[in-house]
Amino acid sequence: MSIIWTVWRKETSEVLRDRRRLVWNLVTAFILMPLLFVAPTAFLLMRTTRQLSNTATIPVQGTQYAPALMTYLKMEADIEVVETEDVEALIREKQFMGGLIVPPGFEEKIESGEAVTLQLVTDQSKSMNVLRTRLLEALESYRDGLLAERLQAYDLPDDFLQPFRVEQRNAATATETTGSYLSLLLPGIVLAFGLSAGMQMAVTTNAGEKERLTLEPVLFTPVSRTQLVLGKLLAVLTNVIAFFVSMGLSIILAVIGFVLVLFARGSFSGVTSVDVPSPDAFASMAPQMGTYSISPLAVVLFLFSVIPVLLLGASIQIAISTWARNSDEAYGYLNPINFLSTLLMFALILMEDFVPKLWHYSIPIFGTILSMRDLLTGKWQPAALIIMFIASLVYAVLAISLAVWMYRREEVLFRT
Amino acid sequence: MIEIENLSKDFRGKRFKKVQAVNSVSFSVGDGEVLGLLGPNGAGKTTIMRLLGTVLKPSDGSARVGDFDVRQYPNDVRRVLGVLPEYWGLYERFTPREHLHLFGKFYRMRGPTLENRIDELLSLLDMDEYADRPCKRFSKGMSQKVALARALIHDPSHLLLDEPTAGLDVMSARQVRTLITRAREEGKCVIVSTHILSEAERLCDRLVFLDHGQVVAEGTPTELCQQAGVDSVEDAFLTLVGREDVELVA
Repeated sequence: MSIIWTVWRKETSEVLRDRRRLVWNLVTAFILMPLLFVAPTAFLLMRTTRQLSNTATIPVQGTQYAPALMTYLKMEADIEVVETEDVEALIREKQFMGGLIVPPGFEEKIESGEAVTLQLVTDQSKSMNVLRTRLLEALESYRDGLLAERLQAYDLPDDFLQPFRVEQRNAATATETTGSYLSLLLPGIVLAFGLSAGMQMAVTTNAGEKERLTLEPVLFTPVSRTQLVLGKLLAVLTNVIAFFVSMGLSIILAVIGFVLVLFARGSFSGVTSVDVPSPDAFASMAPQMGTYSISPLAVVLFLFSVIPVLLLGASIQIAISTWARNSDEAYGYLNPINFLSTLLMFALILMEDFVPKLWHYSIPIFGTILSMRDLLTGKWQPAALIIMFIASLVYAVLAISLAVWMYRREEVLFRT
Repeated sequence: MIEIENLSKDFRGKRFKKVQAVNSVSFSVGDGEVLGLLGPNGAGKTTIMRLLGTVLKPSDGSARVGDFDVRQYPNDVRRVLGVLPEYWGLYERFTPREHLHLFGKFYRMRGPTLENRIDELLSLLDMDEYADRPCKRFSKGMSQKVALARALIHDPSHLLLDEPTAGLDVMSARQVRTLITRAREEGKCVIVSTHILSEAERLCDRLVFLDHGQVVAEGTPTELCQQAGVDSVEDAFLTLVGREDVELVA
């Protein structure tokens, strides 16, 4: 056992001493990733805040046909109107984000109960154009006001035009509903990242050793091939665990940054009361998601279900990178695994209605995904989990044996 | 004692063509003896070293290192053997001391025994000055010494040294030769693979000439000169190998 730890320590310290790689990984995990998450959100919030809070100015063609509407826009929706002859031209020239074309006789036609069309012109190539929503809301509110007046004139109730309402009810439990959202993404993300995170380490410690000619001196020592492979395997798994820990910390940092941005949003434009999402707004989404709960046992089983798959992945990566002549060749063989991981994530989305049988849980990786899904939705069966664990461990042991077998083949070790 | 009997090794070459790297080679080396393996590039010297080091498996024949057969007891063979490979294979981010530590642990050495042995080797090979510097920017001589110290860390009774003085400056080469002489005096069994004839003549008790994976001649330098009817080992080699195109350093 001590030899395995010696091999593990050697591999790990070699990687840790690669300062450039270490610094880059730390910068990515603790600065770039949180920044990548927070910066666009902050930018979006600043922009939205500005667009929603400032007085908007729009060009209108035919203001004379709708004086009441123009007054409503200015007084109730804080929208300034500029009279123009050609709204579309001004928007095409990027002078304004949106405008209105009022047809002749607009207000007369409304009063006589005739149908009339108001044209809202916006530049829809601007995906962040909040003005369109703001204008639509203002116009709808004006229309609702007119409708209410009409109903009142005929002495009709407010819900006269709404004979019945539709109330939606969720037959699934809150845990099932939220679990199904989580199970669409989480297993795929965990497995895809888990399988790809160890790749670099597997290549460096195997194909890299062959390439740098550092493997042969070790082969002359009494260290057995099994000890060597197990030491390297532990090093790869350590790398994967370190990756998950740094990813977890990175997400925590990003969330803290996001919350800080939300709380500080007012200071961007000097306004304090704007209609942008507040932290409470996120809490209001909770009823949609329900109150999600997962038992501590399910969390532990979820984490344990990942380990055999990671062992399987790391062993296959070690076997392949041992067989490769050099690092480039190893990456050439292993990169498609990343692609397969992405496919897995898509497969999960398509699998939503799939009802698995017990034997499905013995299929490598797929069985683990099914089990993860069951654990997240709180619908797991002990028999299915046992089958998955046993099958995954058997596959992992087979993959480790494959890696050891590779290390025993001289034509593989000296394939340069 | 190292004994090799009808040892053969073939590889699968391109298009599955069989390549005979070592062909029915036999020789033995006693304790307290230094044997030189001489031959041009591709003669099979490194393959023999790898077969004795149990990194490769023989296709035919047998070999024993000390009391252990290389096929049956590879782990025991590796325990009594110190190997300086053709390529040093140093970890560039590790210092010489860390290399010795790591390999000492591979030989299950621990505590003061390992520490004392490391200090002894660092001083013996005059490496104290750079013992704690990463090997990344080491010269050939410095790297060769680290690799040599690594081979000697467990004080093996048998040594396989592949080109031990190749690329070394005069001082370093002399230090290595002194070390080999000392190993002989301590009763160790040493095989030196080289193509530097002057060094082989000076260092080795007996020489084995190899060509195309086969033993061409074997004996003391004097015996080989007599056998070829010439005055120098270089001429003896060229006469017995029967080739003029080989690259040798006199």
